[in-house]
Formats: sequence, C-alpha cells, structure tokens
Amino acid sequence: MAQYTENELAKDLDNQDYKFGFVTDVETDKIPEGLNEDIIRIISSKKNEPSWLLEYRLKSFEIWKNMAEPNWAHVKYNKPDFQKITYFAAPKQSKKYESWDDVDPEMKETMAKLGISLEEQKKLTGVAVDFVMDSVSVATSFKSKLKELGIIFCSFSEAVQEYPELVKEHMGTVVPNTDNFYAALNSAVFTDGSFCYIPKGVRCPMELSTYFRINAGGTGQFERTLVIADEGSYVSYLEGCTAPQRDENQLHAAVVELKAMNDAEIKYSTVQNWYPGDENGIGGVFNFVTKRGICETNAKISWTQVETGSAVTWKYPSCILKGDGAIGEFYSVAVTNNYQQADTGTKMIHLGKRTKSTIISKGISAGNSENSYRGLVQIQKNAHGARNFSQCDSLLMTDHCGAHTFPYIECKNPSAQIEHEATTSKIGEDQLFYCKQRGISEEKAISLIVNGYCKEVLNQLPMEFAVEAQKLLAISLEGSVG
Amino acid sequence: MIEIKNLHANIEGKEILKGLNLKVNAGEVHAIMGPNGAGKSTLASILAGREEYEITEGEVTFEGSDLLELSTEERAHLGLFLAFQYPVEIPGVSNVNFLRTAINEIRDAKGEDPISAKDFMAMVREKSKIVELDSSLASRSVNEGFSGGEKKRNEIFQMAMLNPKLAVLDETDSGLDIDALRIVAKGVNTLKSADNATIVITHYQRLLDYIVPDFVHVLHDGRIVKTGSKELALELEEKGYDWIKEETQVG
Amino acid sequence: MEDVLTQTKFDILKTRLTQTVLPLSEEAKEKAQALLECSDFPTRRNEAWKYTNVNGLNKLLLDDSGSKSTELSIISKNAQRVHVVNGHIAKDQTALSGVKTSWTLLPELASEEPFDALNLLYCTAAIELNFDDLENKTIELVFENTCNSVISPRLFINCKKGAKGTVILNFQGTEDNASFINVSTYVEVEENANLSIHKIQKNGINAFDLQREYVNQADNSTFTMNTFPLSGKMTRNDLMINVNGNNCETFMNGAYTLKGKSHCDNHTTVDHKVAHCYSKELYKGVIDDRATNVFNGKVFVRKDAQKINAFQSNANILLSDTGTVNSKPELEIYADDVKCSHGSTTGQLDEEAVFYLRSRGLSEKSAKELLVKAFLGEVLEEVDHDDVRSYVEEQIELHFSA
Ligand SMILES: Nc1ncnc2c1ncn2[C@@H]1O[C@H](COP(=O)(O)OP(=O)(O)O)[C@@H](O)[C@H]1O
Ligand SMILES: [Mg+2]
Repeated sequence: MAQYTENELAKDLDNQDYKFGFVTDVETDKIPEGLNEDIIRIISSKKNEPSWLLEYRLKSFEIWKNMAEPNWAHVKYNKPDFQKITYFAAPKQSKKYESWDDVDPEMKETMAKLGISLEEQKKLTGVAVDFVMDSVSVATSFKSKLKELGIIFCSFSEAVQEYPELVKEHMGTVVPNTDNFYAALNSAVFTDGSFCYIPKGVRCPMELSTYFRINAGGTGQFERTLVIADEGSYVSYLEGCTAPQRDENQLHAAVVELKAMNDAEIKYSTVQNWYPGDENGIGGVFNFVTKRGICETNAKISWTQVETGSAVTWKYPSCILKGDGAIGEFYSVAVTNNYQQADTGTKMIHLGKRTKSTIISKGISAGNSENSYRGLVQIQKNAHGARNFSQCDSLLMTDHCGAHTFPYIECKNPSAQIEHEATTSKIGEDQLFYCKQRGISEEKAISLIVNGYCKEVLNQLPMEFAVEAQKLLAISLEGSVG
Repeated sequence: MIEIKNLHANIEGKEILKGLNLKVNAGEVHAIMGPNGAGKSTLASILAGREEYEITEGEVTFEGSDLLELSTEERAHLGLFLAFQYPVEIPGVSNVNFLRTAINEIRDAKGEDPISAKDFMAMVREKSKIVELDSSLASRSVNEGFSGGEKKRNEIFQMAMLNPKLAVLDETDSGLDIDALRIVAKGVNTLKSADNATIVITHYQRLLDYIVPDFVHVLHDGRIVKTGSKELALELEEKGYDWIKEETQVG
Repeated sequence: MEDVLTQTKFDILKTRLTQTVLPLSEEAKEKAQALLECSDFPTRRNEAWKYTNVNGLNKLLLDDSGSKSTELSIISKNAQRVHVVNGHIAKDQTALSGVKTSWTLLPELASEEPFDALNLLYCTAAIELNFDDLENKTIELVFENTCNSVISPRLFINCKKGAKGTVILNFQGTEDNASFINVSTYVEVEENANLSIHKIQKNGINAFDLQREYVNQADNSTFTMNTFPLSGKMTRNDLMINVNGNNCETFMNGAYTLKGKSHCDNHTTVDHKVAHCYSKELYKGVIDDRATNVFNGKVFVRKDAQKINAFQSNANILLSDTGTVNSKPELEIYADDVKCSHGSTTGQLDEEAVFYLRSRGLSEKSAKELLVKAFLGEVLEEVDHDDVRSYVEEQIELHFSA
C-alpha cells in the first residue's frame, strides 16, 4: 500500500505535455560541430586526458570510420548527420563544488523540476546522486561516506584523473571499441559519464544513482559508464534519463560496461524517459546504447529497464556469463506510443558451467508505434548444465501499432535447458469493462491493468524507481486505447 | 430506484430482449429466474453498460437519471453494481489496489476526498469478515488463481466495499457448494437496507432459501412473462420452465 | 582473371547443370536468368540463411553415377502413384486422372528466390496435381534417387473449390546418395477446400535437398503441411503460406531425427493477411552426433487481420555434446485483436524419467528410445494419414536401432 501513488498519478495526468520539456539557461562551453581528429584532440585536451586515452579515442575514430551503421533492427529513421553534431558541451563553470551551497541556483532548480531535489535526497538516506548535465558531472554527494568503505563513485572524467590505472585496466574490456558502430563512436568522442568501483567484499550500503539529461540544443550525448564490482561485493546502480523537448532529433549513444568479479553482484536499473517526439513523430531522441556486463564465477548481473522514451531505441543490455555458476537476468518493460520505435532485448551468452539466465520482457505498443523484442540466448559448448528461461509478452493497445518478437536461440550443449515463451494479445476488453463497472475510468483502468501486467519487472526496481516507473507508464499510455 | 420500460436489445443482429419491463424500489429484493439463454445475463450487461449490445427501443431510469445515456463508470458512480457471472482475472493488480482505486474514483465523482489508507485498511478488514474471505486474498491479484467459490465471494466482498444502491447478482450462486452459498447469502443479507435494492439472477431456487426475495420474475424469450412471490420459485423448481413456456405461447 | 573474380557460386554451379527441355516462355526464362545473374549463394549475413551454408553444393560430383535399379519404399499402397526416377518422370506409367505431366507451356509462377529460378531453368520434371472432388484421394509422388544427379522437379498442386485431397511427397534416396535435390512447389487451396501434404525426406546421407513451398489459401480453406526430414547431408525447407482468405485453418507439423553430420533447416512463414483465421505449428526433433538443426518460424499478422489465433511451438532434444540447435520463432504482429503465442524449448531427455524407466527394468538405451518416441509422438498424433504415420514411426524406430 505504501507505494501506491494514485494521487500523484492524477496530478501527472493533468499535465499531458512532456513534463521535463524545458531548457536550462546555463552558459555552455561548446566546440564547433562536426567530427574529425582535431575535434577529438580538443575534447581530450579540454579534459586534460593522459595520452593513452587520446590514442584510444583516435584509434576508435579510425575503426568507426570504417564501419557502417547497423540496419538489421526493426526501426526506420533518418540517419543522423554525424558532422552536424556538437561533440562537446560543458557548463562553463567547470570547477568542482565543495558543497551544495556552491551549486548554481539555476541548476538546482533544474534538478528540482526533474523531481530529484538533491537537498531532500541528501537528507533522505540511501541515494547518492551523481548528476550529469550535458556530459559533465557537476555534483556528487555522499562521497565521503562511500569513501570510508573504499567505494569509488565519481564522474568518468574524474576517474580518469584520479584512478587512471583502474580505468585503463578495465575500460573497453567488456565493450571493445570494435564492437559496433555506436560503441566505436562513443569510444572516440565520449565526454563524461560515471565510474564506480566497489572493493572486495564490500556491500554498497546505498543505491548509487545517476541522472542524465540532454540540454544544449543539438548536443550529442556520449556517456560512458564503467561499474566494477570486485570479488564478493554488491552494488545496486540506478540510471534515469529525462530530456527537454526538441524538434530536431538528438543522438544518444552511450556505452555501459559492468564487471562482476567472482561472487560479486551488480544490479543495474534504468528508467529511460528521453523525449519521444510529439504525437506526429516529430523530434525525439535516438537512443543507440551498448550495455554489457561480464560475470565471473558465481557472479550475478541483473539488468532492469523501464523504457518509455526515445523516438528510436536500439538497446540490448547483455550478460556474458563467463564463470561457472554465473547468473544473468534481464527484466524489461518497453512502452511505445505515437510514432516511437523500439528494438530492444538482451543477449545472454553462456560460457561457464551451470550458468543461469532469466529474461522477462513486457512490450506495450500503442498509437502507431513499433515495438520489437530481440534477444539472443547462446549456449556454448562447455556450458554444461546451463539454464535459460525467457518470457516475452506483448500487449497491443490499438490496431495500427506493431508488436514483434525475434528470439534467437543457439544451443551447443546437450545438458542445457532452454525455455522460451512468448505471447501477444490485445488489452483485455473484459478486464477494462470489469474495472469500469467498479467505477474506474478508462485511463485509470488501463494504467492499472498495464502496471499489473508489468508487475514482475516493476518489482525488480528499487522502491523510488518503481513509483516513478509506474507514473511514467501511465503518462506514456494516455489516450492510447483504439 | 430503477425502472425499465419496454427494453429491446440486439446482439449481432439477433434480438435478445423483446420488450422487458421491471420496476424495483428501494428496500426490495427481486429475483429473476429463467432457463439458460433467456437473456438474464444480457439484461445485467445492458444495465452495467456493456457496449456490444444495441438497444433498439425502451428506456431505463436509475435514481432519476437516464441510465442508458451514462457511461459504465458513471453508472457505477451512481451506485450500480454488477456481480459478474464470470469475474475476470487481472494479473498483477492486487485486490486492495483495485478497490482503493475504485473507491477513490467514486468519491472523486461525488466531490469527496480520497479515503485515507488507515480508514481503507480498516474497512477491508471489516468487510472481508462478512464474506469470510481470507485477508490474504485481499492482497492477491484480482481473481487470479481464485477458485470459483473465492471469485464469487470476492464479488460480494467488492460489493460490501463499494456499498452500492442497486446490486445485480448474476448467477452468483452457480458453482457454489452449500457452505459458500450460505456465506454469499449472508453477505447479501447483511448489506441489505431500506435504501438499497438487489436483483438476484439465478436459475436455481436454492439461493432463494437464503436470500428471501420480495418478488420473483420469470424471464423467458426476452420478456418478463410471470411475476409472483417467493412461492413462484418453488413452483418453478418443481415443474421446470416448460409450463411457463407453454403458458406464454398460449397467451 | 577478371572473370574468375566476378564469377559467383551460382555461375560455377550452373556450368554443371543441364538446361531444361521443358517449354518455358521467353519472359519467364529471362526473368529467372536475370535473377540468377545478380545473385550469389546466401551467406551468414543473409538473415534467412544465418545458420545454413550451402557452399558444399559445388563440391557435389553430380556425375549421374550410381545404380538405377534399386528398389525404394513407397508409402501408401492405396494411393495413386507417380514415379520420378533420378529427377525424371518414369516412362511407362499409366495416366492418372488429375495428374498432368506433359506441357505446351509451363505455368509462369515464380518467386524472388534464386534457387527457385535455378529450379525453373534446370527443371527435370514438372507435375501438376488437381483435386476437384470430395473423394479425398491420395496421390503419392515417389522420387527415387539412386544416382548422384540433379533432381529439379517443379510441382503445381491445386485443390479446387470445395474439394479435398491428400498428397504424399516421398523423397527416397539410396543410402550414400549424393544428389542435389532442388524442389519448388506451388500450391493453391481454393475456397472451402481442404488439402494435406505429407513430405518425407529420406535422402542419402550425402544429398543436398533444398525445397520451397509457396501456398495460397482462399476463404474457408484448410491446409496441412507435415514435413519429415529423416536423413540427408543438408536439408532446407522453406514453407511460405499466404492466408489470403477469411476463416481459414492452417496446420504445420514437423518431426526430424538428425545424426552424423547432417544439417537440417526448416523455415516456415505463415502470413495472416485477413481476419478470423487459425494457425498452429508444431515442430519437434532429436539431434544427435555432430548434427545441426535450425528452426525459424515466422507468424505475420497484417494490419486489419483481426481475430487471429496463431500458435507456434518448437521443441528440441539434443542428445550429443557436439550437436547444435538454433531456434528462432518469430512473431510480427500489426493487428491488435489477436491471440498469438510461441514457445521454444531445447534440452536433453528428462534424466528423472530415464531413471524411473530403468528402475522398472528397462535398459538405458530402450528407456531413452521410449522417451524420444513419446516426444516425437506428439507430432505424429497430428498426422491423420495412417500410412504416413506408420511409415514415419517405422523410420524413427530404425533410426534408433541403427
Ligand atoms: N456475445 C454474444 N453474441 C451472440 N449471441 C449472444 C452473445 N451473448 C449472448 N448471446 C445470446 O443471447 C442469448 C441470451 O444469453 P444470456 O443473456 O447469456 O442468457 P442467460 O444468462 O439467461 O443464460 C443466448 O441465446 C445467447 O446465445
Ligand atoms: Mg447468464
């Protein structure tokens, strides 16, 4: 009952327009648009990077130039013009803040509008926020507390300066710069992101969280996240995205790398609410993300995502179950409305013995949208006793949307057990009628039924996130039954 | 409370109700009986506002409003409740969540403030006792994995929570064993007052041993063909529906 | 040297084939040639051929070696039969009603698939089967492959309005046969018609068998396709069903038993274009040794094709450490009032069940056999033709006793 949020929901329903659609007027320090070696050198020197990192960027740029944009996903869009993107924008005052009082008031206001009032969160226990605005981290809290435990949680740039050996050792080992077009691009031009290291045997006592948003007009976003959970450690990491309203399409090509060493566990949750474009499919963010984790022996990585935003989403948080007994999980809700397109899913690569993976995917399509699940379950030769269970359900709200399921199942070991199930069906007329007979309006009935349908996934989210996710689902599906 | 005049209704071009008349006053219990396929559930569905049915003639006034002009939820806001013959399952939505949403929407429609969590939980505890519903059922998903009897008791529990003016129970007795039947009937009797009314749809007499009706109507071929007292139900039980059919044909 | 570089694998294959003597229209011929000109063998990059490589075709000798006289099984004694020996229609057969084997011009049906174009240009036999009554007669086409030849039949099966018919496509190869079998089958199921096709692919262990069925279903029709790839080095079946009419029923069943180094790939597509239809698909198989099985089932439900119920299931048992299973069941749905589901499972035999049977005195081998037969039995239950069912049962028995 505590997490019941009908009233908050009602408030949100009043404001149908994209609620985070505003632009903060902070002076930004931009470099000219376009992409070439010089631009990469400028980014690197502005960030005061060591030479190995500049070399890595230049190498990635070489690789990227020789790659073609992938076209196998079930999405259609106008390819971005990579020379029309500004690859670096940092708020002008780039000095670090000692305390919250030093933070630019306007920025604080932005955070308040985003619903993540840090002042409040500072008082509330549990959430340390590393706030990324236009690629550069401007505020971090709870650092000292984490420091006591030896936990490093900082912006990626800071990590490059303070912990270069750790970054150098792990960066690009999970998602190499040769992996795919967008990963190569990110490796060349990434501006900032988050870095997290949990030492051996440490259980991170709070949820670590990062909020991203796109701000300056026409600014590309190329975050890079690296989370390392050393042996026997545990961390729960939250990532949330909101973006202001824009007419031109904006590209978001992030790379997230997770490393769970022996017996470690990483829980990575995302609520993604990039601007989806308007009801006519104009504008919106392109979200082309590479997220992957490696699990060593008996380690566990759990991805949970609630995707309601973006004009185009292309995203497959994956697990390489390398060590024996490793566990990978993927829980996903993807909602598409109007002209949104999502092609999302996961890859579970079973290498070790007795590795286990679970995939629960709930797709909800409304309006004229296209929603695809694409997932790979691969059992390699030595993965004796591997197990996979996948359940992929699609719910259709109108007769002009599409719901698609493309599972790839590849098995090379006879002792593996793989089960895949998928269903596609319309939102239940009988269920709607039943709710209405009890006095519940159609909008609210839909929100109830959809939240119920997604329960298994929402239950995986930390509490604050679950509440926000429920709100987002309701907002995204307004007026969607056809 | 409710007055139905000359109601005609079609589904998929087939006429099911063919001029049905019925008037129910506050404080009364009416039983509607009739053979399978007579149109009993159709009547209940139309009163609740199911859209598949086409109403070709007639009118229905409920609490002074033209019922047929209202949406399903507006009817519910006015205090119309239907206990479904086949309650649907809503996976992942807990009973309490569902009911709290319903209660608050009804309150909102009346311009009242939402119920507090404390009052709501107290009410859940109180009302679940009436139908001897295990309180764990309240936190389970709506009807999901419920046995037939649990579903029916859950309908009466919801009725108790929503406290309607007019309750229409569609075959709430079917599929119940004698204990469950007694519980359901006890629930209905407890909720009965001078301000509300109940229409009990059934095709067995046995429920009427527990819920004593003021009037018994026989629905046949889309019309109420006979109205009587409780004794009519016994007569039907004894002789079946054939004599009614014959009688109406002659008539 | 230039030429060598631009030569495609089709160009190489073509040099070893003999052009058809059957009457083709110039137009059809040109179209097929043009299609082949701009095609090459599919590669991994081609999604539909991701797991299946046909390069081995160019290693087949195709020299017509082998004996011409071996006796091979027929399936249904009661059926009317047409014999096709090493790709060519046997000479001394009595004419059958509803069967057409001589042509003044071949029908111009063609697809965009290069192997279909290849089938047309190098066609060795063209047969049309017509069913026009309720008799439900069975016609069995027996393909006896005893030489290492090119077998390129083009089949046209028409089940007319309100008619009922059964076809058995019986491909039989001698044990070590190394033919290139390349079959295109065009099927029309007219209004209210009911057609069943049973396809048995008992090929020689070195044979390549590539088959395509293009099916159209009209209103109120029922179509059943049962596919049994039992042996062969490489078997690829593409079953494409367009459900163009309302109120149709479509059934697709398959059972496969793979061993050695065989590779089997079943691609099915059922395309629901209109409303109120039902389709059900069940493919099950057992994979042993170094064999590989690929399953790809697609269900399309087009916009406005409401009230579709479509079910799809693929289950595999992997018996060896070196076998591979690739399964890709797909749903692509553009209508909202539908109920579709698919499932895929891959695993080994239930050890508990094996143990249970052994505790009742069965040997491990026979316990496993029993369980495998029960596993495949679910598919056989769907087969309503007694002769076909008992033949396949027998073959499964043989498969395990060998
Ligand atoms: N959705 C429907 N479509 C077509 N006919 C219907 C539908 N629902 C009910 N009917 C028909 O209406 C008649 C009355 O049904 P119903 O009201 O359920 O009867 P009862 O509840 O009295 O047994 C029956 O003949 C039934 O077949
Ligand atoms: Mg009824």
